[in-house]
Amino acid sequence: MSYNTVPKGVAIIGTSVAALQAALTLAQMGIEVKVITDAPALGWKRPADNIMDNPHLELRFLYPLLVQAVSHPLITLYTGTEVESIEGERDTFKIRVAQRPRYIHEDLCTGCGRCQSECSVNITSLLRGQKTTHPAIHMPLLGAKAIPSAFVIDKNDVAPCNVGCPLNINVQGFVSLLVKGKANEALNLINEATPLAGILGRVCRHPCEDKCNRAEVDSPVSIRALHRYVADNATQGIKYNLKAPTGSREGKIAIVGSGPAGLTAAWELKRRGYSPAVFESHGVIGGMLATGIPRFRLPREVREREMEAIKNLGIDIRTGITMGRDVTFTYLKERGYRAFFLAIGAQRNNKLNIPGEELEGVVDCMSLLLTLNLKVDTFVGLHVVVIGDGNSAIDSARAANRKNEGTVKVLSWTIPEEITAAEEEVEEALQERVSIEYCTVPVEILGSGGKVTGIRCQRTRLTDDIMANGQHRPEPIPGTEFVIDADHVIVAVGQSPNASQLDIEGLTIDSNTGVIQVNPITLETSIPAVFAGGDCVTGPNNVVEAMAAGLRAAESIDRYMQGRDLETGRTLEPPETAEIDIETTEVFPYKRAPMPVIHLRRRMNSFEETTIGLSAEAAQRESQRCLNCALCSQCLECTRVCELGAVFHDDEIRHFEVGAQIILRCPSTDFKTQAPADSGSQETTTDGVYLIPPSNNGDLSDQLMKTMALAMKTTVELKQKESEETKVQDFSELHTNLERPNHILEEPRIGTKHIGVILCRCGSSINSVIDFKTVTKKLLRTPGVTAIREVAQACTESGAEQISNQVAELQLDRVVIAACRCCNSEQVCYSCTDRRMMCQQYLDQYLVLPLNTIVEFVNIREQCAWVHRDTPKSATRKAVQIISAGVERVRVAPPTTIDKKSILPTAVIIGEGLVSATAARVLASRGYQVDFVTKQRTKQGQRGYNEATLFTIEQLQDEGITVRPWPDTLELQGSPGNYDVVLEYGSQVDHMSAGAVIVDIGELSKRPSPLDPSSSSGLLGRIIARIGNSSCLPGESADMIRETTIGERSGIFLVLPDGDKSPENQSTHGLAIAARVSIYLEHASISPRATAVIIDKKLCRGCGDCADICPYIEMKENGNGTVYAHLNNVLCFGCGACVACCPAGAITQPLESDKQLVHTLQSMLHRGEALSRV
Amino acid sequence: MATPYIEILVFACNWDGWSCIDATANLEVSYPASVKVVRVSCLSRIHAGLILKAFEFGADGVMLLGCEPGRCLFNVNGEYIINEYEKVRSILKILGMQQDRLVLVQLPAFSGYEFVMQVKNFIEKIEQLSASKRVKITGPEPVQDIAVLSQ
Repeated sequence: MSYNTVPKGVAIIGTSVAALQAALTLAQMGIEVKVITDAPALGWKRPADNIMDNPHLELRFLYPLLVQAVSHPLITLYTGTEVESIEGERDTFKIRVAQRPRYIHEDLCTGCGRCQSECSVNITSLLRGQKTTHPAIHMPLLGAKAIPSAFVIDKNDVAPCNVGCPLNINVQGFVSLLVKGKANEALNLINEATPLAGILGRVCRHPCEDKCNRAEVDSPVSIRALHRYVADNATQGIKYNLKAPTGSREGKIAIVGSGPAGLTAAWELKRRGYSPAVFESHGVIGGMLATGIPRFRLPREVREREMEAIKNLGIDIRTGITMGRDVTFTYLKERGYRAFFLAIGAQRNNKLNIPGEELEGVVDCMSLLLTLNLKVDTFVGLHVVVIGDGNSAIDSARAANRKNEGTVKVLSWTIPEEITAAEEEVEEALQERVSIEYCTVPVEILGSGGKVTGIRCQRTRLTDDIMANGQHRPEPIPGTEFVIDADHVIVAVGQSPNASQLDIEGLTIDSNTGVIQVNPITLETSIPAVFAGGDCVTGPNNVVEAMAAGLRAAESIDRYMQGRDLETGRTLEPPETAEIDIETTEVFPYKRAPMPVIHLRRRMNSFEETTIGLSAEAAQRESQRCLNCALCSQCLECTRVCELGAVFHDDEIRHFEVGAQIILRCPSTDFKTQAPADSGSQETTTDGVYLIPPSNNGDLSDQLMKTMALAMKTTVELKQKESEETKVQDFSELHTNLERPNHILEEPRIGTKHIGVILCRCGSSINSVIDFKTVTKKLLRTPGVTAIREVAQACTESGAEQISNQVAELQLDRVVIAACRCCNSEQVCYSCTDRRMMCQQYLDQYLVLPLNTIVEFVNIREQCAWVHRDTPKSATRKAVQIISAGVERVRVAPPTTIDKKSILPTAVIIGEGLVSATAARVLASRGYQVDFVTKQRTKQGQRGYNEATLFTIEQLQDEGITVRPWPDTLELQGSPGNYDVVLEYGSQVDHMSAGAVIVDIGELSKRPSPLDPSSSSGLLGRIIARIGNSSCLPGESADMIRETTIGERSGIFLVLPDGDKSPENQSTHGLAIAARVSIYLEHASISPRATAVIIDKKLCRGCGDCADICPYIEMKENGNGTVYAHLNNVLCFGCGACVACCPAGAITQPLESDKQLVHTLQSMLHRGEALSRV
Repeated sequence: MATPYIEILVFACNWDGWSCIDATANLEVSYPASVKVVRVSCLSRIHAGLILKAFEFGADGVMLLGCEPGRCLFNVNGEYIINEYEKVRSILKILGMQQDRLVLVQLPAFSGYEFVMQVKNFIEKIEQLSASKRVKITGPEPVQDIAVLSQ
């Protein structure tokens, strides 16, 4: 796309039918046009209650107009674009705009819809006052045919769950994939952000759920359970992708600790190409995952599966090495290690510091969990008391409970609401008959004979003092002491890191808590290149925080190794979260899926996993509870299925400037998809800004006439400015066109009678229904067909190049292209699309012109694949028939002839009144030679004054117009582009040559008319006679539609009597006519239509049937008393009516002959197929 | 063989007719793939010979799909195709084929749903005709028709 910043041409802001007509008219007169619209695409949905008189008319006019406008080389359409401000003045306007991202390449998307069927996010939008539900990636106008047809993706800010996740997992993404049961894709999506899905799915503290907007309806989506479902059910296993090849990055990195923080850092660095080394002091890897979390919460198989996957990446993990003892910091530095990540966790259990702690039977929770996890036979007492209320305390309590036959009691120093452990864990503990004593602190541990027998405790109450973790500090109440029996006491009042053991000089450690102090953004410690993260920095915390620290440290280390600044662009601030309006999103409350658990008896005396995990149905239903806050979830399924590579999610808002000399503004729009274009700060009275005529009581022709008049006026202004500046006459370019000789192409240059077939897949929307293998097999049996090839997309430049290369390589001289384009003609039908136009434009450029190939297009998309999706076999059979018919037609197609006739740059205007006079003046000002045949009257003795035109003859002559008096008889002879206008004044006969003729019907019908009955058989008379015919579309509407679809042919423009006689309306009408004539003359040459007919004079019997059916056929005299039918083939529309009605078969239509039609029928119908095989 | 393969040949004019058929692709409708469409510039291009050829090549039904009266882009008088249509219907009668196997459908442009409805009704009608024909293969009617025409 080119951003036309130089002020040139016209900018049109907003769209309507009239705006597009203005754009097309201007472009056809050589003016550059930029159309700026807020809508994602332009189109029209047939309204049930259309205020316009003629609902069918507008669509048949509108769509060809749209397609022409969008495909015209001088028109640039900016969709989804808002105007922010307009500066400057006439000739120097600068329009600042912001273009919304579509996330899809407009020039590649064919609108096949494969992406839409994979999208699992359904959104409800308000469209034209109605609620519609549609996928996040969708047709731009939701069911109405749109041009351009490229799809759009709706996105909102970031989903709150994504923001909540410390690891930046695309939560909404993987949840939406589960709606379609895509566990493998979901796991891949998760693994792009983080490893260890199986572990997170069990023990993450789910900050995502805390942010879930679904909580406003009933309860948050059970995201952790879904995360676990993904990890457990991805049949393909864990596949970690590297971002850069291994070894692509140099530098030794040491990671101390193989807990979640260390492993994640190692994983990320490995993905980026480094080869970090992990030093683990234990014999087993995983840190707290292996030693601290009991197996009934994190089963060993799951842990080992995850560890295995990490090791399979090739990460170097060395167990049994303790930093500070077995290796030292200095030693590693000497060995070339440049960066360090300390992830030693918090292993040292805090002491109670009360008397009795050294008694036998008092253990710390860490050692207990370690031995129980590693299945070492260990002593568990009868009356177990756990002191503490964190996760470790509850874990120890539940673990001990499974092993003992007596009671397990937990002493919490605070109230239930402020307990540190996770709610789910506490609940499960209570289910398992663990009792919790709240507001209790131990004062002394009592014992006898060196063994513990009980604990003396005190009650507490909460104070107003808020601690670091946000909870109230409890204080003991004196005088409330009591004793609890216990033979086994587990101390679980927190852990601290043993950082000093690392023996790193200069490392700053907090003296109270023992944690390593770091920069919160970069995690760098007081020593450069030494980073730290996880529990050794934060104190005991959740797995997910530790893993997030690992990712953060990896980024820091990567930057450090690359010599980049550690802090730039990094922030701790979360991005903007998507808000969702619960009222408009119709949501039905649906209970959150409960996590199934094994029953109590099974839990005891075993360390089997307590929770079972969601079933497939439960997971699917639960994922459907997601509200899709960010709309598109970026699950990237659309990117995966689009064969054309048209989807790109990192599209962004584009701000740029559009320059223009004149601005046309839409007051409002009759495209129902778009808000009124009242943006910006311009007034209608600004010089150089014109208002596009609004729709006036639904009278489309009136609106369009005014629009064309405006376009003409604008063109005159711009061209005047241009010629002022450059002082070059416009028409020198035109005349060179005329000098090109007639060019008739002989037989194609390459190959001899080799017919090829190109099958377009259209993404995969065609070949997913039609079986190309079968098609190929059947078509190769057809004689003459030597090659069948496939392309992904025929309507792009690269597609056309591919086709062209194939054709040249295979030496094909005739090709059938089976795609979406239906015909090889220059016309634009009602149903034509922008993709079909691009198909023709590129193939003309790459195939037809350079290689002279004869091409036949057949449509197997809208005609076959897209409407027979349920019956692929019959669809394939039909496709074979359609393509065979095309093969038969291309076999007998005549070589292309280009028979150009020049159009003279002269106009003859016959009429009286302001309409004709205005047209004459405008055309003269554009440099055309104008002959104005008009009535001259006298007024008050003033000779040569023409009252109706309000100008004197001299004035008109001064402007370069040749004025001629009203003749006695008038006849039009010759052929389009080169008419001979014959005027008779008594005995004098004048001839004028004309490229275009404007005739005012009203004047000609007044008696006496120069068109006398005898000459009504002439061309002009026949055309005029046709107007009254009731079977035709009312005059100007027919012209409008014909001009937009097949183009003006005859060059005879009729001015119909208009009701409104005001001078303003008359001169508007004159401008509009001048615009149409100007466009016609601008072409400078015209060729007959490819479907034009040929009348064989020898076979003609002179019956005149064809002349009855068509006004352009005339009966000419032979000289011997007989007549014959004659047609100037430039005039022929190519309808073929005369071919059917000629009883002698004297008329043929080369491109649509009876022979071709019969061949087509034979190929399409089963008995015909059978006959052809004989 | 659940449903019989009823082959319909549709002559569609390039303008209003073709736009109806093209419009079906954007709606969520489908019609049987035994419906084949031949595009012509204007329905007036069709003459009796072409329609009969279609029947000769095995079409069970022929539909002429074009514009409503007064809507022809080329301004061709609709009488011509109506005359051809009625001519062929009487020829079919003479040949002993059911007249209703040829229909003329005139629709506004972009009438996707209407076209699908028309073609499905047409197929149903032909199924009935085929069933009834098998039963009444030797009836007195053909003789009667010839007597009428010879007057």
